[in-house]
Amino acid sequence: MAELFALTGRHLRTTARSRPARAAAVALVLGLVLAAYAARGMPSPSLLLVAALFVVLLVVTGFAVGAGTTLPDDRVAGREAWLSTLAPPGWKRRLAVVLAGWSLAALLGLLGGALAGLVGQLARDDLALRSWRPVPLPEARMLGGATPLELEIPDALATHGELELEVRPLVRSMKLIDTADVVWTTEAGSDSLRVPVRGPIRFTPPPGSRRVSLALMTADVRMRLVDARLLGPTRAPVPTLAWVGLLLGLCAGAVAPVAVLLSRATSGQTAAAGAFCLLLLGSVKDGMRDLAARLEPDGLQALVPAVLDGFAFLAPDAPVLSVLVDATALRAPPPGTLGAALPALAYTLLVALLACLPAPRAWRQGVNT
Amino acid sequence: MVEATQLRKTYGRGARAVQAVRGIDFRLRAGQCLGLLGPNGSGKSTTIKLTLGTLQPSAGRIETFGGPAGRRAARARTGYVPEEARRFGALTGRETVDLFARLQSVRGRAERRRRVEEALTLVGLRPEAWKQRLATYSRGMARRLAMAAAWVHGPDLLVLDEPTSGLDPFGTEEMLALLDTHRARGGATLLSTHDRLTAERSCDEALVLVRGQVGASGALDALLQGDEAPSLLPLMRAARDGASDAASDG
Repeated sequence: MAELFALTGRHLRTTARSRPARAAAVALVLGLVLAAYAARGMPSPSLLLVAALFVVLLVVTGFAVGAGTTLPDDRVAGREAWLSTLAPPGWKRRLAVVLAGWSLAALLGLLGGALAGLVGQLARDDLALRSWRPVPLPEARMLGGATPLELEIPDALATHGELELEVRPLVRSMKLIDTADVVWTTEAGSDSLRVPVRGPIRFTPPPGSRRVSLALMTADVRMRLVDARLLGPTRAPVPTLAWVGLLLGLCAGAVAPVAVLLSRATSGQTAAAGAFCLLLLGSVKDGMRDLAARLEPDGLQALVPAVLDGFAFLAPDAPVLSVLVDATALRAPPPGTLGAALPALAYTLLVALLACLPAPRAWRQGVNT
Repeated sequence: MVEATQLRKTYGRGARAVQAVRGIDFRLRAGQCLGLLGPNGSGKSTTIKLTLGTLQPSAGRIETFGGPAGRRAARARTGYVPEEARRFGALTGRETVDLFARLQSVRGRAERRRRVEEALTLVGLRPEAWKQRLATYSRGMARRLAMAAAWVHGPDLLVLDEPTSGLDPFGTEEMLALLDTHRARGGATLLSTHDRLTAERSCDEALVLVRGQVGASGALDALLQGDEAPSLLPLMRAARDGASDAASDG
């Protein structure tokens, strides 16, 4: 382990002192300051978070895929040949590069997120993220159908605060409709609301409510429920966004071993670009699988679903990226989000193992590469 | 400590194959220094790589410390000084030597610190230079640093590629004194050099390589007998002519 830490420390030092790292640090600070400045006059601080977290994600992704340039650089500069005369075996040298890229992405995510929270707090007094828990969606999700929409609130969440529903409109006539009237009813009371036909609807049912019934009172529109959650108390922006940043860093860090694996056979730039493409594919993985399932194979086109499935298989799992959507909607990551990062961690581990395998020729010849 | 038998190395295949080392034999014992002499392209660097185990022989055998060259146990007992040493430009001198100490299993923070400082002092690097990054080092300073990195874990075998190239006379003297110390404590040294002073001061025996073959070998004193030239040129020329004669006879 001592050798692994020594090699990892060397990569971290070298990366931290490199010009791209200094440029990334400047870009991060400038990006956050610009985001804060641009969001000053906006009605909601969510734009600030969109911009700030995008900058953080960009920087951590840069460092994660940048791990792909280390081995080729070492090869060209002769460092690899020199290090191969020392005691540590080749797999430790490669694993150290993976560890450095991954930990740098996670660490920078954490720091970048905290910095985004700090800048956001300084720029906007109203910056606050709310904790939340998901509410199970019913089978029938249409508002405006023959029967009212019924939501069951689990016992554990009954004392939580505000209910937030995400709805999408299905317009029945050509009339332009922006708002609709909705009546909600619980065991303890009822009320009516005028709500936008698209986006979040928020109301606070009486404490202890277990069942919420919703009826649409506007005739020319129907609305589909796509998500439901109970919002809790607000969270401090700095630690919450640090946590969001860490999750983003862990997600982006999953491509560090991919970059290292690719860099064993390609140039640093090619490896970094390949890893970046895989991360992009990972962020649309579910969509690719859906598309592959819906395509009807015909002739050569039969290959398309297979190719989509193949890319979905190779790309890292990136469900954690949903925390970005939550944060930009001013919601803190829900409990158990780290569990959602486990597939990305498992992917990191598996590809790191592949990256550590010796080259067949070196293995046969017993050369320390 | 090192034993090579009918060592051969060929790069490439078929018509493009280049025979870099063609059946050389040598033995290096504890406390001995063996010089690899010869012009550029004679196979010195390839022989060094074969000894370190970073290349595998195409034929023949090379053993270090009683086993195949390049295995972990052998690497841990070997110190290597490459010809170009400014390779960790982002690290400071102290960090570089400390890295090598950690990778060569020098245990304990205090012990490592002591050894790092001792090695840096022995090679004549001033304490101000310890904190400078290698990118700012001159060639001579980098060579001293490489020697410190090779020395820090107390190796039994030192492999040096042109150790005094780029050094001023003071640096050369310090480097050669270090090799004397290494030899005095029973360490073996394999070094390649073009420099007569380095060879005379350090080497007991020498292999003069010519086009991958041994042109001449034996005790250096005997090889240089009667030769008053300031360089190794006459020796290399004689070895080359000898190898050509042998080839034409064959």
